Amino acid sequence: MKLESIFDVDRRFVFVGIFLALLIPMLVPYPLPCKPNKDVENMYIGIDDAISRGKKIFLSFEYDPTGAAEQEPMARAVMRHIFSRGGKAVIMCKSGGQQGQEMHQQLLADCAQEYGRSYGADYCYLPYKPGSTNLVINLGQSLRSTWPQDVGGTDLADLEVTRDVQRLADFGYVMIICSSLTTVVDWLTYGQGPYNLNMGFGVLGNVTPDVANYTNSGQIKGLLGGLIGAAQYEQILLDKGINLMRRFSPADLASAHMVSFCSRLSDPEADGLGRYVWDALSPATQAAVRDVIKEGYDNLNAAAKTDIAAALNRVIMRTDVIPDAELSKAKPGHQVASLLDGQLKERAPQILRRLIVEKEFGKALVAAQSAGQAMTWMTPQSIAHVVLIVAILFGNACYLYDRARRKKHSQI
Amino acid sequence: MRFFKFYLPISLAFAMAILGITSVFVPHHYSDNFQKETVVWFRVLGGVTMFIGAYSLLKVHFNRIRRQQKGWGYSALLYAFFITVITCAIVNYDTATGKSKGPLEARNMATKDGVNWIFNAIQRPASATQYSLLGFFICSAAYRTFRAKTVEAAVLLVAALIVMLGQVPLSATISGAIPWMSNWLLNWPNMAVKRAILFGICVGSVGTSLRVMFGIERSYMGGD
Repeated sequence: MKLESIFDVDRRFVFVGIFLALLIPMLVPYPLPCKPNKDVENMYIGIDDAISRGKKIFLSFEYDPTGAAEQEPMARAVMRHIFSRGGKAVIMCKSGGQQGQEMHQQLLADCAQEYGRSYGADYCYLPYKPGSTNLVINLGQSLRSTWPQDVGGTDLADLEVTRDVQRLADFGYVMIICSSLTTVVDWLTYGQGPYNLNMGFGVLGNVTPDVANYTNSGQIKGLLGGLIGAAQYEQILLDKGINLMRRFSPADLASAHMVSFCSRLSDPEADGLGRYVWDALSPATQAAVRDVIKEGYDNLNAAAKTDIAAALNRVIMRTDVIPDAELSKAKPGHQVASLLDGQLKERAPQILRRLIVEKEFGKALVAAQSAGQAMTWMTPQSIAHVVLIVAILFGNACYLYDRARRKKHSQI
Repeated sequence: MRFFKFYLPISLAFAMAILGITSVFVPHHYSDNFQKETVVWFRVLGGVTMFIGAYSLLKVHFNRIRRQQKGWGYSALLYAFFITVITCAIVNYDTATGKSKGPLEARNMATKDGVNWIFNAIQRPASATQYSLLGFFICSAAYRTFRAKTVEAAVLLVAALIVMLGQVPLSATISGAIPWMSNWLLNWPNMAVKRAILFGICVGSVGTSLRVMFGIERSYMGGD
């Protein structure tokens, strides 16, 4: 039997192997640390610098469910960074993102809630408009003639965030999350070039090598390439303590533990924190929580989640539910403690209150300092890559062994 | 007739090309206005082509159903969905209020209507699934085709394995040299080749544009 026939194995076996290599680490999440590369660091510095100069950030979300696995974590990480620094952002949707508008808006609302930002004052969303190159040219000339109104039909002149910006050149940093090289070239040719913009891109992993051309030339100042790029940005947010500054958002309610969370929330015996949160909920949310317990169904509707997150946020923003004297209960880890002693000193009480709430509700709440989506997903991807590499090496070893054996036989 | 079929389109193409080039290089408000105006024209033309595209798509699939060609069932499905989505958009029924807003009122993405349901329940998961499946096919193809049959194939195999491993954080845990080698391969040999191709494409684009401008390339008029 020829060993090299291992290459001719039915492809379904390869599919099953890769599926298992992805599934097992997903069930047991173990995020690996990611060392940010220069392009990712440049984007972080570019955005940070623009905000510190009092400039606004312009973002174009041109991704949809197809590329969301890679690009949504990018968008989330960047928005968290902007909102945590008190930055203001205008987000638009161009061709490529028309199918993802609802996702974009949900993501923006989540991030805004996490950092206590509001629509209109801190950010706005400009809905999908057809045209690719033309839109970029138009935006360079006039923002308001391109998009007279935002997604809710409000004139841009009436929104605080867009009141003093006229065109692309007025923004401190422009970030495009897109999936094709053509789009990148359009933005560089008609946006970055004529107006010398600070521009960064978040692209799919398979486009990254093509786009890297423009980072070397200095036209692109910051690049997030694929899921690894998003994971590296998340690593920076973790290191800088930006995640710790988060308030609760609907995304922090872990679906897997929803029944136990709801039971804990509606416990009639509960006092103190649990009772306060329950009383702060609307009757509709309380009814939804009771339904979850009754049906044993691990999900709550979006409105109920938002209401619960708002109630939890009231706990961490007030001093009467968890008084200052009780903050020592939080017992932060070494890394968090050093951040609280340093750059996050001013926000320490709020962060400690959040840690206490997280302890109270256990795994039902996603920890503020937990690794992001991209970092968590990079582990299954790493395992899948290693499995594939081992399989290729094994197959080649078999092939080379067969070839050597054939050569030996022919000599005899 | 030759004037309308030949000289007029060529003259228009030449004039628009000259105006387009001039408007980029001449910093004058006339140039700005010209650009603004043409951009609007492009968008209007883009909107019109949507109708042509839809007509062409429906015609192709109609013929497929009529002749009962292989896979005509998919064409029937296309018609079913086309009609359903158009109907839902025209009726514009809001389940929250229980009212039909009609085709003239703008649809809100937060509204619980038919179009949003089809989009969220069918299109979104289907397109995400389709893209996810690609990963499995690429893995299968990589496994079956990466064979070190020649020296060149062996070099390609080694480079591919280094880049594949260098793209995940696990590589840095194994050795810091792996991500460094991966980046070197991407930023030097790979980039050099890509740039050469890119320059070739750009020069080719300039050549094609000049051929269109001077009427040498006439395929856009329906000829050879």
